[in-house]
Amino acid sequence: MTTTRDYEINSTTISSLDLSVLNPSSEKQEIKMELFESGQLDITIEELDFSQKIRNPHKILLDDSPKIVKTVISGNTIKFYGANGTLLGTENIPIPNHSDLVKIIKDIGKDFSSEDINDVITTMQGHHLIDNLEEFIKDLEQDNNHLQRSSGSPITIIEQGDNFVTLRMPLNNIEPAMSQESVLLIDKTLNKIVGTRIYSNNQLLQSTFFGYNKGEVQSLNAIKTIQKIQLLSGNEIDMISYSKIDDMEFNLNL
Amino acid sequence: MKKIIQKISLLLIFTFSALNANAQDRNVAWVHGLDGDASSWQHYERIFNDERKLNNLRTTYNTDNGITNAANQVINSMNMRYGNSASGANNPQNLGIGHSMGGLMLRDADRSTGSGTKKFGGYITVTSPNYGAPISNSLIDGSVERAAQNACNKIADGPLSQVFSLPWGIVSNLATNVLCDQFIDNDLVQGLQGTPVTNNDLKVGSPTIDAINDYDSNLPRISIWGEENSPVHWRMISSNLYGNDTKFVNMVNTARGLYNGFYVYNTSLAVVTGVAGFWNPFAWGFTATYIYRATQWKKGRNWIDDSENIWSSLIKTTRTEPQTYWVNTWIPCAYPPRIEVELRSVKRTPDIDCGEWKWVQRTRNISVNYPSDGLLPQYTQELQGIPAGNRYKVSGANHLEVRNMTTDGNGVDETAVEFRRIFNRTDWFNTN
Repeated sequence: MTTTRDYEINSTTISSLDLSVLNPSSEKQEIKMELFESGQLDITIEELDFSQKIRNPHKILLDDSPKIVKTVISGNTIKFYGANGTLLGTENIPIPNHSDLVKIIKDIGKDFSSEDINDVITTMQGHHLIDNLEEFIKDLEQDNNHLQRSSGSPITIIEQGDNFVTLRMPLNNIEPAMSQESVLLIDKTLNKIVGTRIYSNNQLLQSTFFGYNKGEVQSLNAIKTIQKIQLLSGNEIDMISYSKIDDMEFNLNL
Repeated sequence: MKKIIQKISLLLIFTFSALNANAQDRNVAWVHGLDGDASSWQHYERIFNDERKLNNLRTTYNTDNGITNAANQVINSMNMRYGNSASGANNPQNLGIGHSMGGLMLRDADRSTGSGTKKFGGYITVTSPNYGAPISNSLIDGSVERAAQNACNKIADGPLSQVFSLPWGIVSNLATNVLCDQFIDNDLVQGLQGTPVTNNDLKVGSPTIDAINDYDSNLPRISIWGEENSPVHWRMISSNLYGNDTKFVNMVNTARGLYNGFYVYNTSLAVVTGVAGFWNPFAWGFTATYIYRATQWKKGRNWIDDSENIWSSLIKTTRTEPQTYWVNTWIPCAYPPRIEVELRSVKRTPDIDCGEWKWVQRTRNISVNYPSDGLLPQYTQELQGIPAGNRYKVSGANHLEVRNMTTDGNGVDETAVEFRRIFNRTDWFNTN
C-alpha cells in the first residue's frame, strides 16, 4: 500500500508555523494480515522504499537512530524490527479479539465455498453473497429490529436511487462509547462500498472513498481520505490521503 | 651564523617560558547559562584544569533578573576570586567561557566595563543566543502554548477513538500526556524560559540583546556552535531527561511504531469488514468505525513525524522554500451525500478521469529545517564580526549535551576536541 499525504491549500498566506505541519509525505508498506479461528488478528507491516518517495530537503544532520522497518502485531504484543532483523523493542498492546468477525465469516462459509469468500474479500464485491441488493435493502427496511442492538440506534436508509443506496449508521452500534455517525454509500451496480462519511454532531469529520480495479479482478485499489486537521493557528485545513493498494490477496482457510 | 642560531634558541626558550608562565597564571571563568549552575562546566573545567593547569572560577549565578544583572554577578565573582587588580580580575590574560546565556553575560560584562577594568582579555561563547533566542519570542507570543495544545489533541485522538482511557501509556514511562508535555510544556523549556524578566531579555530584538550587539568589542572572541542530528528536539529532551541523546529518541520511535501499527491494523479491518457488510450490515458500521480510527491514529503518527518541523519552526530555524514533488492522485466516481446539505443537490457528474490513478506534479512552499542545537539556530549561535577561523562547530551536539559530549556514547568528546583546537592556537587563546 502506497500512501501520499497532501493538503488542499487555498490561502497563499500561511504562517511558517502552520506550514510546518503541511509538508507532503509518502510511504509504502507491505501488509500481511492473519485472522485466526480464535479471533486473534496478526498483522505484519514492512516499510518499503520506492523511487517516487517524497523527500523533504531538510538541511540538518541525518538521524542515525535505528529505524523500524518491520512491525509484527501478534496477540497482545507488538514487536519492532530494524534493518537486518534486529529486534528493537516489544510492547504489550490492548488488541481486541475479533471472534465476531470470525463468526460472520463462518456464517458465510456455511453457504459458500472458501474460494467464493476469498474472491468476495479480494474484490470487496457482494454479488456472490446476495443476488439482489434491492431485496436485501428492502429486508433491511422491514426488519429494522433485526438490525438494532439493544444499546444502539437503527441503520436507516436515507436515500435510494437507481445506482446507489445511502445508509446512515450511528457508530454506537459498534462501540457504545462512540457518539459519531457514519453515512455509507453503496454502489448497487457494483455491489460495493464506494464511500463513507463520519459526522460528529452533524459536523463532517472526514470522508473516505474507495476505488476498484477495472480489470478482471475488481479488487480494492484506492482509498482516498479527506480529513479536517486543525493547524497551530486554529485554522482548519483538509488533509488528503491517497492510498494505492497493489496486489491485494486473501487466503481463507475455514 | 652560530650567533643567529643562539638568538633563535634563546627566543624559543623565552617564548615557551612566557607561555608556561601564562599557563600557570591564566584565570578562566567558566560561566553557566540560564538552566545551569556551578556544576554545568564541571566536566571540561576538570579536564582542562588537569591538562592545562588553569586557574579556574566556576560558581553559580542567579539568572532570574536578566542578562545585565547576571553579568554584574560575573564581574563581582571575578573581583572576589582573583582580586580587583591588574594582575588579578583585570588581567588582560583572563579568559571567559560562557555557555548559552553565559556567553551573553560575558559579552555584557565586556560592554559595561572600560579599559583597565575589563575582567576578560577575550572570551568564548558556547551555543549562545548571540542575537537573541527565538524560542523566547515564541513563548511570549503564545505560539508554544498553542503548539502544545495542538500536540496533545493529536496524540490523544487515536487512543480516544479506540476508547482507551487517557492518559494512555503508549510505552513504558511514555504516556500520551507525557509525549505532548515533553514536547513543549516541560521542565526543560520552562527552565530555559526562565523568569519573565530574563525571557524578555533573551528574545530577539530585546533592548539588552540590541545593546550587546551594538557594542563594538575589540577583544579576541570565539564562538562555538552546536549542530545536533535529527530529531533535534527529541535529542535535546533526551539529554535533559536521561543524560544521553538517544534514549528518548528510541522511545518516540517506538511510540511512532505503535501509532503506525494501530493505523494499519484499523485500515486492514476496514477493508475486511467492508465485504462482510453484505452478509451482516452491521459490518458496514465496523468499516466506518475502523476507517475513522485509522485516521485518528494516523493523525498522531503524523504529528510525531511533523514534530521536528513544528519545533524547528518555534525556534525559528526553518525557511520556506518551494518544493516540486509527485503525488499519485485518484478521483472518486461517486460521493456519499453530505447530511448537512440538501441531499438531492449534491449529486455530481463523475469526473472524466474518475477511478484512475494519475501522477500529478506539484510545486508549493514547504518548511525546510536548518541547523540548530535543538534550541538555538546556527545563525544566532555564531558570532558575527569575528574572523571565520574563530567560529567552531561541535557536530552532533545539542544545547545541553555540549557541556559534556561523552554522554552520547560514541567514544569521542567532541567539545573537548574543539576546546583543544582553540587552546592550541598560536594566538591569544593559546594555553599551552
